[in-house]
Amino acid sequence: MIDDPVDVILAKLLGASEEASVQVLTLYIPNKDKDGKQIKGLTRWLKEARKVLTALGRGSTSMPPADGTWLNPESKEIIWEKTTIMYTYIDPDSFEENVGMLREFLHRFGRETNQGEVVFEFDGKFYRIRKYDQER
Amino acid sequence: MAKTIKDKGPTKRLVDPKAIAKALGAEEPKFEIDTRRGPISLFSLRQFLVDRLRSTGGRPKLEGTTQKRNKIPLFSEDWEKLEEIAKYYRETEGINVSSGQIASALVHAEVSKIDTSKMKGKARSASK
Repeated sequence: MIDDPVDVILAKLLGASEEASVQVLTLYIPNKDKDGKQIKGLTRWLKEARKVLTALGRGSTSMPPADGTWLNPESKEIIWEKTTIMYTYIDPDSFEENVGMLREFLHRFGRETNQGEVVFEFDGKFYRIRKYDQER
Repeated sequence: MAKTIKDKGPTKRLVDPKAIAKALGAEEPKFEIDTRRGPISLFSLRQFLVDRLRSTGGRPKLEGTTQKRNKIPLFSEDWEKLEEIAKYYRETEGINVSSGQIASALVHAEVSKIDTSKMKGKARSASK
């Protein structure tokens, strides 16, 4: 059935004060490393991730840990883990201003918690970081 | 005819995802799935495949599917996408999955959202 669209300006109708944000950045923070070992200080990493997201979008939402799996390409073993998914609707100016902070966090998380890869979604696309920056 | 609401209001300017991927040192995605309906759809597909694929000696079987092969007409561009996704999973993720199994997983995910118990009339009784 063909839709019959009704054009509205939601921001005006609902009294929103600025333009709508449309691009979502989602982080996936697992509780295990690439060998299936528990990550130490997970709460600290989760808190820091939310702080970074808040800087990029002026707020963040974190969902309860979900059942996740990751296939270790070297050992061919499936890592069964709990993954916390958190996201923010980015503010373009804040995002560009703080993208360096995001990079530093993602690479440090991958390096210090022995991740096979660190993944994130941005604007409907799924990205992987497999080579981490060296510690400064 | 169903009516839908379309927001024509202004949006914030868009940030170029390619530039952001480069700035973060991430690999370019080999394919993309529209995740705008919810942040966990791509995550769910991958997890579903890993959870359900069971070794049978040859290509792993997608657990829960039947031996019966139903003929479903597909749009050619959809089949090409399914082949591309399956190739990606095989070559990049090491998950031995076929295009048909990807299609099966995606159809299952969408069909399971429909609550047929609320359907009334001839259509439901005819399907029994």
